[in-house]
Amino acid sequence: MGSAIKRKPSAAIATPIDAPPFKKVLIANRGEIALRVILACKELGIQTVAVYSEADRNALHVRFADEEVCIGPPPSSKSYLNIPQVIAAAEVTGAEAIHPGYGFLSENAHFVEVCQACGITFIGPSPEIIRKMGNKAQAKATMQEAGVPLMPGSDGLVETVEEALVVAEQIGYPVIVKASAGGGGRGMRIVNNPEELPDLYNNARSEAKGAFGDDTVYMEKYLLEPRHIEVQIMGDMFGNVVHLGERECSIQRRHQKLIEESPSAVLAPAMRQKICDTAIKAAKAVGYYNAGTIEFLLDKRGDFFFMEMNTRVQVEHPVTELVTGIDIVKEQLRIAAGQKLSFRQEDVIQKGHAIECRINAEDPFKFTPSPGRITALHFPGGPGIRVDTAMHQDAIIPPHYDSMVAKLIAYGANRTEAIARMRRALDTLVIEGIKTTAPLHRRIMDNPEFIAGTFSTKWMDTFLEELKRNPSGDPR
Amino acid sequence: MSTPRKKSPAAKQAPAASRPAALSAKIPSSPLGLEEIKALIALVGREPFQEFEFEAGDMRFRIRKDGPAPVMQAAVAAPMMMAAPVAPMMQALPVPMAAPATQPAEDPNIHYVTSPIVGTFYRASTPTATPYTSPGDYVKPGQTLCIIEAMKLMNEIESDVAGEVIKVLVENGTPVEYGERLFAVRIG
Repeated sequence: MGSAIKRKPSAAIATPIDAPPFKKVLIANRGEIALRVILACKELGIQTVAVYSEADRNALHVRFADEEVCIGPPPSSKSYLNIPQVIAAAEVTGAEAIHPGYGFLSENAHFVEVCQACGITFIGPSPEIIRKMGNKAQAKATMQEAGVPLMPGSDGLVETVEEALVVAEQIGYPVIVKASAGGGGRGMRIVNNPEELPDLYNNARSEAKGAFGDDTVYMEKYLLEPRHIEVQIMGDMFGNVVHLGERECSIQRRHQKLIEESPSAVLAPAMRQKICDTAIKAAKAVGYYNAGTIEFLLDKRGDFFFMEMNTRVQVEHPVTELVTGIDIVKEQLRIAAGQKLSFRQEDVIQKGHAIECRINAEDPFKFTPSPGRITALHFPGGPGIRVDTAMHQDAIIPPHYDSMVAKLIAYGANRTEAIARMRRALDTLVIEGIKTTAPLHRRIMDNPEFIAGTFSTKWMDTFLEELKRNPSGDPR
Repeated sequence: MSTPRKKSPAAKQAPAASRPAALSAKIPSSPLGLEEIKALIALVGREPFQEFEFEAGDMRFRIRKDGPAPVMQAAVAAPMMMAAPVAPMMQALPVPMAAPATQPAEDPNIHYVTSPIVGTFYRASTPTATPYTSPGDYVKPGQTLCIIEAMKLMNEIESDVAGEVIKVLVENGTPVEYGERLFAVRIG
């Protein structure tokens, strides 16, 4: 007899230092971020409820939470994305609030509405804010109104050469002509001056016709060596919004970030100020509260343009935590409980340098997924190393979810020390039984361009091409 | 739930590869006494693997942590018992470990009706009504056995087999999770 929803002996033992913002929080996620939220709750004296699918029965977030509820079979659509199951789990355990982590239900406005209707606090912004920033067109319109720079481009389709010449003059060369139905670089042309525009414009259209059966095209400004720079912001329900500095996330493959760092190696103080102020303007324009990220593309000439806003905690939040000393997840919990931000803008000081490597269960050079059982595991430690992970010896990486197994974060007094620490951390990392991307990261840490900080969002493609030509050579 | 459960990969690795030191210390060459078996069960309970198989001389047994798809466990257990002509005590194994509640020994004729959702378990439609079913009742497939309340909705849970209800495994008014066993039904 009795229920499988267990209350563990550890529950209610810890005496909180301050009054906790919530009594009990359910974490609607899995993996390292579920664990990260549990750790923050433990520090704040909040009871935790883990939900899990049948594939995660032995997962660490289940082990370390005070209570646990199995909510469905392995596919996320039937478990971690199953709103009625998550809400029912909060109801039967009496959780007051739900932390969504990232991914899954974290940017699902409907889920937030269901939480509200059921009297459960969602640890994140309102459904209105999520909708506004989740819809690309609406987000752009809101940002334009707030005076946040958007990527210049044609307003819709460009139908004639004459029109293309006018639009290109307005947005400034170089421009890129893109097929509306496009993808994979087809129906795409970079134009550097008005002389070459007519031919390239026509080429793009005929190529688009051949590839997609649709020859409509539009135009955008073409950025030279763009870098992905994002700004961490935090806001409370009293209209206070502060920034926690920027993160550089240009090391990407197919729009998946591999390495993030803070601060960026290229931002001069005046430029940093300008981007961070713009991010605050963007957040205030939507009345933002909770942790959020405004993503920009920064080009070689120092122009930057709004890409999108993420209305949740980011995978790469630890680099910001290390350089500012601010616990972003704990602050999220306090904000959701209706507390004011615990710090002001002048209290936020970026000190030192932090780099994060996302270690994925993938072939390091072919990127094919590598699920399976971890047979041996050792995580690096020592000064300046933080590992956010939910891995353990004998853990099984199920094939149902994303492939990230650990975030390795190195902190140093400066970028050079952070890189040196990341190298020795990667050298002393042991994950056996599955393939991981750690060897790829080790190669990147030795690359002169990475060390010099001279890279753009396109750098990874070039680097991988070089690796293909020289797969086993000494990277130094 | 009705497909035979595959041996978990742990079963192949666990005894030999994973913890050789711990196990060799505990296993004497002669058949085990009660205390040794208790110690082994506790060990398996603590360790991350799901299943533990042991063979020494003419003695052979398996300890398996209780999982979600239980009916077929008996099928694996049966030939094992025939191959192990040892003390009756041994035949009580496999012992479900780390289970929410102690489950009865597996019997191929017993079917467990499990909860398809998370919610609160009720045996009757109202607090004063007669329970939908009680031990000793014969039920048909599709017959309502209980209600699980989730998000203010009452969900009727139906039997998926015909047979005799032999046990109600959850107390009225308590929360249940996905896959939790609610009723034991003797098929027939």
